[in-house]
Amino acid sequence: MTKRSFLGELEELVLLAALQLEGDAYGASILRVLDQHTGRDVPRGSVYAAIDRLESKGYLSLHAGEATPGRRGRPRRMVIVTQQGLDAIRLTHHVRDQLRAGLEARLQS
Amino acid sequence: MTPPRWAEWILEVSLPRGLTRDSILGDLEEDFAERSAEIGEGAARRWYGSQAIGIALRAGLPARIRQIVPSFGQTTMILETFRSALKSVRRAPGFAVLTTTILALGIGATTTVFSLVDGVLIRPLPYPDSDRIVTLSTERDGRSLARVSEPEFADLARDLPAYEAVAAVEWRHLALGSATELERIPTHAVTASFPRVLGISPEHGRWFAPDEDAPGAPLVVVLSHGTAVRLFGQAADAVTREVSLEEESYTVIGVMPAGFTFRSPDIQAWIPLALDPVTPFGRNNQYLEAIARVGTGSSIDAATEQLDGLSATLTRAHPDFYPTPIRFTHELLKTRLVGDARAALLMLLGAVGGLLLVSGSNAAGLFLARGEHRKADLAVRSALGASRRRILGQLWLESVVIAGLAGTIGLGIAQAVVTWIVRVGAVSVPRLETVGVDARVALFGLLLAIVTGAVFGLLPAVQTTRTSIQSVITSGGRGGVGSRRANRFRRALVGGQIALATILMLGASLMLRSFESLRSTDLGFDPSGAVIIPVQPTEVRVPRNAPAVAFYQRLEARLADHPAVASVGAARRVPLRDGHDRLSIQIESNPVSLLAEAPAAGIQWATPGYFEAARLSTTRGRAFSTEDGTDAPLVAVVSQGLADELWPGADALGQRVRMWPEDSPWMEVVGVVENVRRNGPQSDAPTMLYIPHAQGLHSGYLSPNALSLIVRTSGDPSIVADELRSIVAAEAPGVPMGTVVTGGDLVGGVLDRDRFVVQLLSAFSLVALLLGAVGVYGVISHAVRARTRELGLRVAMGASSDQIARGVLSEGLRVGIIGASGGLVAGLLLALQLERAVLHVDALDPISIGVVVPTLLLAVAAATGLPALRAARLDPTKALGEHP
Repeated sequence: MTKRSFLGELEELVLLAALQLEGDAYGASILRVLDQHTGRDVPRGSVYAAIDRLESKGYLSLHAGEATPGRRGRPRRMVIVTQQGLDAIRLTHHVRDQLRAGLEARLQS
Repeated sequence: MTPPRWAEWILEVSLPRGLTRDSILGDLEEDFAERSAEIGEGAARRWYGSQAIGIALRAGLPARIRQIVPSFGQTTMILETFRSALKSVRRAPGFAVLTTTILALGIGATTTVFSLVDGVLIRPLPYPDSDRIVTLSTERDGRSLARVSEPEFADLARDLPAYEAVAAVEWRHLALGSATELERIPTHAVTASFPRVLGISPEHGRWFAPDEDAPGAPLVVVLSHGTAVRLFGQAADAVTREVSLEEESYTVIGVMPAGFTFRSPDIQAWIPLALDPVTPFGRNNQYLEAIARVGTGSSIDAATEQLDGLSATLTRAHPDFYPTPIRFTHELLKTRLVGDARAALLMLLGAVGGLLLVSGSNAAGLFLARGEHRKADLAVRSALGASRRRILGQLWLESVVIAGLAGTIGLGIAQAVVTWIVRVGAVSVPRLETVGVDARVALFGLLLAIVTGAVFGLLPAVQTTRTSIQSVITSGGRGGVGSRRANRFRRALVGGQIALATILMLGASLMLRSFESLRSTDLGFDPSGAVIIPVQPTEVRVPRNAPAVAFYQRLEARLADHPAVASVGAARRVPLRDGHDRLSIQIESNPVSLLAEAPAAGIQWATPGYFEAARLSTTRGRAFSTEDGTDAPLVAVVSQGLADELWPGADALGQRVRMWPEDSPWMEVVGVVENVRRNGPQSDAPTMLYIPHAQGLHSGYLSPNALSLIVRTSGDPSIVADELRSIVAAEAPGVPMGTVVTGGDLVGGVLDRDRFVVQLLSAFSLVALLLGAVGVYGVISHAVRARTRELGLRVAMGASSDQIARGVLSEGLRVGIIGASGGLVAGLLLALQLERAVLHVDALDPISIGVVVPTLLLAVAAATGLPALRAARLDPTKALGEHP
């Protein structure tokens, strides 16, 4: 994936949540973190779609995790942010910082 | 504590198998357990369901598409492909419009017919467990009658444990309203068990109790929702109010829900049938419709068995009434209601399926041609690294996009046509009121479109991407050079279209011929040119017998004064519109002692003018005259069929007949008239006995007070119809009248459905012919373009333009002839199958074949003509010097 693309808002949030969770990032835990920080129910389907998208862009790698009893034997799909993923976040933040330059006063709440 | 099964199923179906699916299900499970503890299981299950739907739409669908077309690595890529598909459709608007139109025709027609089939045949009746509701018939001497007599009804209601409830229904037209304003409303007189059979109950108030369904009980009525609103403003207000029916006061005890119908949406009220259990009508007087509900603990088969048992018992118990065994049968109410509309609808469905194939393969031909046109472009993309799969996917998606567009337009067409059909009642099918383009039909139409696009787009896409890049590059990169394989494929497509068009045209022309033969069938009478005015006084206003006789004599005299009136008469039952009373009679020359062995005939009470006004001609003797008055010698007229049945080989004139019972007076037969096909050209003419209305009170039980006036006019009857009606209204104030129709309407109405089928089939076959011709044109002009160099060379070598044109023409005709022959064979085989069910002409009808085959070949020749002409005018220098 040579083409560098910007992250969608949800994609960015998913990547950040996965980083926050370190080794414990999977669908349900990411959703919990997002719900907590945004204070609303993030649509589950969109999060899964975003994970799929991020994986196909190479920003995430997925592997099967443990199948706890509460999941009726179904494995978790553990999420790890790749180096490209980190680069993408940095790029997005960099662009954002540049765009924010000089606007600090107006954006202060 | 488990998630809803259906939601899990949705996820299992929508998500790709493997880790993704398992992990998402696991995540949900985890949260579900948590939420169940927090908000309760019910709420958690609802939450799970909504999550599942969201995931299926947002994550499942894109993942599925990626799985089916793996080369579409990313969602964005799908969108990109979709966008470029749209772009390439936009780049060739002519192609897009043509293909979309062709597909929209096929899809629109199919959706239209499907909505009819769905509404009439597929949808269950609007009653709970409607597949347990049956109608009863009796069968004797191989003849089936959908009626039972009062004693038979009592036997059925009592002796059949398999039935949970049995109800009887009789149609009546009751005069509703006050002394000054009376109208006749269609009503059902039913037994108290009626709502139990249908599984329905009134919206307001209550239904009548068994003790109200008895002779002498207080008069009560249940109104339809519409009628209650019309009379009392609000349905709920109607209950406990009084309405006047037949100038007697009835208490409204209930109102049925809006939209409730049984048998006819026109029924406005239900009154108790009030059968008399002590002195019922005769066992041979079968006039009640009977319906029943099979109990939940029982089955249709068990009921059939019990019916057979009852039939045997009754045959043994009543030899006087059943000299030959009687058999009670039942069939599902829906089957009965749909009746013979089934065959017509299925035939239309078959035909429209053929049309869809023609339009689909026609579009496939266009896709293929367009693909070849773009081959150079595609080869470049392929050289730049696009995989074959990717290109194939795009071509395929393009055809699906176009089909989706066509589906949307087709739905619009279907919506318009169906609305029109239902509004004008263009076809007399039962349950037409349930027909419409709703979500279900729309879904069908769109799915049909997508499947059509996918099926007919796939082969061309495969075909187009099959050619190697080299072959395109070495051929000079010219577009429009078809590979041999592609050409063969296109020819096969077009041949198939011609074959299907042949089948459709053959079917349409056979149906048309069949319809013409029905239409030209002599009905035995000719009401066209007459106005029919049903006069339906109440017994209070115009009592039967002598007052009724005087009443109609006065009405006829007043009408005869009108300058536009040529002749006027009246009769009890109007052929083609009313049923008829079939009663037992006795003849002097061959007396029988048992009622059951007596011959029966349809009875018609008629005034002297009736025969002239209805153009019912006398074959022997005379019709009635004004001399045949109440006090004159009693006379009768018989139909030719009755004369042949009662006095075979002898002269009917001078014979004597009488009604049962035995003390009825004898009537002398003074005339024989033509047989009348009372139920239309498809049915046989019943045997009839005509009794002078003026003498009915002596010889024919009574002189009825409700007759229909038949007024023959000198000009167009519809012009004076209103005027004639107001003459009657002025002469008989407060007497309700039925709908005034012209005889032409009656005759036209009988063949309504056949006409509709023929019109639709003709339209389908014309469209198929047109598409077939377009297909031939496409193939041949393509071939000419592809062979420009070769043809140019031949011209340069000295071939005349005639030779060139002939060559091209024969190529087109070859495809046409092969297709047409195949279609002809298949069509005739099909027609032979249908012959007995629907055709009234020979399946191997030479005229149909003689019209269809030349028409087709002419169309093919015309379609080939243009490219042939172009080939003949080819300028060899240009053809050889330039790349086309």
